[in-house]
Amino acid sequence: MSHLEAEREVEAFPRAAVGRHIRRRDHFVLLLKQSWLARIGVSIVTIALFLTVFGPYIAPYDLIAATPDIYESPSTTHFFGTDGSGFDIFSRVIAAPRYDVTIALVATILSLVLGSMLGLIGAFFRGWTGELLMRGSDSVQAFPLFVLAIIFVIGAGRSLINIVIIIALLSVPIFLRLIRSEVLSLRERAFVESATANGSSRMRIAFRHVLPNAMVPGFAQASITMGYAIIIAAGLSFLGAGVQPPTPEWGSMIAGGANDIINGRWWISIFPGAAMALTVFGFAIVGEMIQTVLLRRT
Amino acid sequence: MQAPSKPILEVRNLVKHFPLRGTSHVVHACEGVSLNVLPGETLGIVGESGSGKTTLGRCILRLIEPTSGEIIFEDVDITKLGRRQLRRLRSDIQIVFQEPLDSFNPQLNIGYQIAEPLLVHRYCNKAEAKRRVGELLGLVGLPEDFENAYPSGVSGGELQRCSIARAIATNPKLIVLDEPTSALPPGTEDEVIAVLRDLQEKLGLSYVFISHDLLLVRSLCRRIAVMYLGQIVELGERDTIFGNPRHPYTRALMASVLFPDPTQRRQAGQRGEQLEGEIPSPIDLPDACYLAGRCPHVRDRCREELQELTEVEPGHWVRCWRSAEGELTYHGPDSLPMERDQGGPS
Repeated sequence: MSHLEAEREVEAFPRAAVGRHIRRRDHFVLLLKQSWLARIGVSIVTIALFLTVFGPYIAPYDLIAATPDIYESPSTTHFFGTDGSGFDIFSRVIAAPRYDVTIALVATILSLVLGSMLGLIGAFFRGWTGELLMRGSDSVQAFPLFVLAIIFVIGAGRSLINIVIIIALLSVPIFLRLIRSEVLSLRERAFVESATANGSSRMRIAFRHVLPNAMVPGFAQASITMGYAIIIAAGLSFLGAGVQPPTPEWGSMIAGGANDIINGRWWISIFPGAAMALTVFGFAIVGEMIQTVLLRRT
Repeated sequence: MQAPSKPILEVRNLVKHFPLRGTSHVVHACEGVSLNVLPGETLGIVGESGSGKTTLGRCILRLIEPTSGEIIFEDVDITKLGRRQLRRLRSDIQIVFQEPLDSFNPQLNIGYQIAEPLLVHRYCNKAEAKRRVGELLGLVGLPEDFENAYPSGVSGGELQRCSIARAIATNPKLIVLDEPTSALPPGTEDEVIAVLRDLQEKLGLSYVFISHDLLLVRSLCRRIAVMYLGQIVELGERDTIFGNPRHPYTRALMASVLFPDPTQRRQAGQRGEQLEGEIPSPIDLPDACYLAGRCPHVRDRCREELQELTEVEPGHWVRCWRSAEGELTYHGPDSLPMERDQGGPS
């Protein structure tokens, strides 16, 4: 049992009493039972995903129709108040994930897939191919992510697709490096040698043994990247380089209400800002949970 | 005495150099190793850390590409096989690693990993493989439901037995055991050894047993090779190596054994040699006896020429010219060395 005692770093969640037959699904449920944090995180992500799909339909008010009820403070008719155009902020806050979460989710999945593949290639072909990939990553990572995103969006045009692609491409180097270094260390492990000794093909070793293990930190990173992607998407809109008003979107809503805060109309910016922060937080927790469940032991 | 049967594995003059990056120097991991393994026997390979015994084990399976030399398994030189042929041959030679937890993929259950060699070699279909996994687990003394367990959920000793089950899945003829019990707690060691003995008897397996535990090697192996700095310095029957070791290094090694029996321990201490200093760096070794710097019986000739492994009596090989030419003899199994000092070769 020595290997069970020699445990790794501190983890955010209590390690489940890993019995012999625990399945991943059961482990996930166990985490939910054991930890408040897990329940909060899963709730936030569930709500965010639900709103991504249904938000615009369940919004009580029209999202982009100006009304005379401007600058109303939060009340029972307008939960989060209204802004200078008379838009109902609650409706717009719950409709916004349609844009923010979708952009972030698609961009993260794209960069995870692309980054893992390139990372695998970079680790297995360490000649000029690997060198090219690593120096390419260096070049991208040498610039602040956000500045680069603005430049590319302006260059490529402000369409939704372009924003997704640019956020995805800018996140690729993180995954590439992570997966590459994981693969390099996994390749030295005895179970990979063992697979070789079993007569497994190199493809089988790469995709059955190495990649699934390398993806564990990949998924954890994905949840962090997911948070970043939401912030970048909203940040671009905040600066006017992303989704344009009056489309309901957190970043542009925060920007729209920024000047009103000093006039005491705090609700216009605060509510979309809080919604965004909560969402980022929720994805970070769920990422941590995924890692705990996947990480049987590395 | 050696059985007249033909060796199942013959290693001839195996050399493995690891180049040091950015220099022209090399690490001499194996430096001309020759040995053979007979069907159904256990050949022990002992030596300190860094003596190249693990490298040798990996080379036999070509998990590491040897620099030169031949590895002949059933009349086929493994070193000359292409990748495809080599993969086919992998069902005949298997390996069990030191650290059981490291030799299983943490993401896959044990059943899948035991079945993998069966499926890779198209040994049988999935349903049969499942049945076979249960059978294999039974052979190593584990209940069938272990197939659903994950490596992190079972103990080290149990996992090492699973590792053995995986190794015997495709009915190999030879298994390299690379310190299979060194990472296990003392109680489990015996279980694993018992399983290994049992399987050898039932399946007629040949083992190459790599270990630094001399007592374990003595209890399990029929013949023993002692390695020092990538070379075999002495090779012979178990009783010869333990009863009448001829090489100064072997004698020093024997003196380091902590025999449970105090009488034995005293005897071992008496006949042991005291080596000076530490094991030298395996980088750029000289064309001389590798032990020359540490050996109490060193002569000029030791520093001038490479030593050959010489057969001093049938089946007993020693890499020391003084022993081979009778200059350095030991009278009886437990006595101190007798030296004819100014004798010189005659």
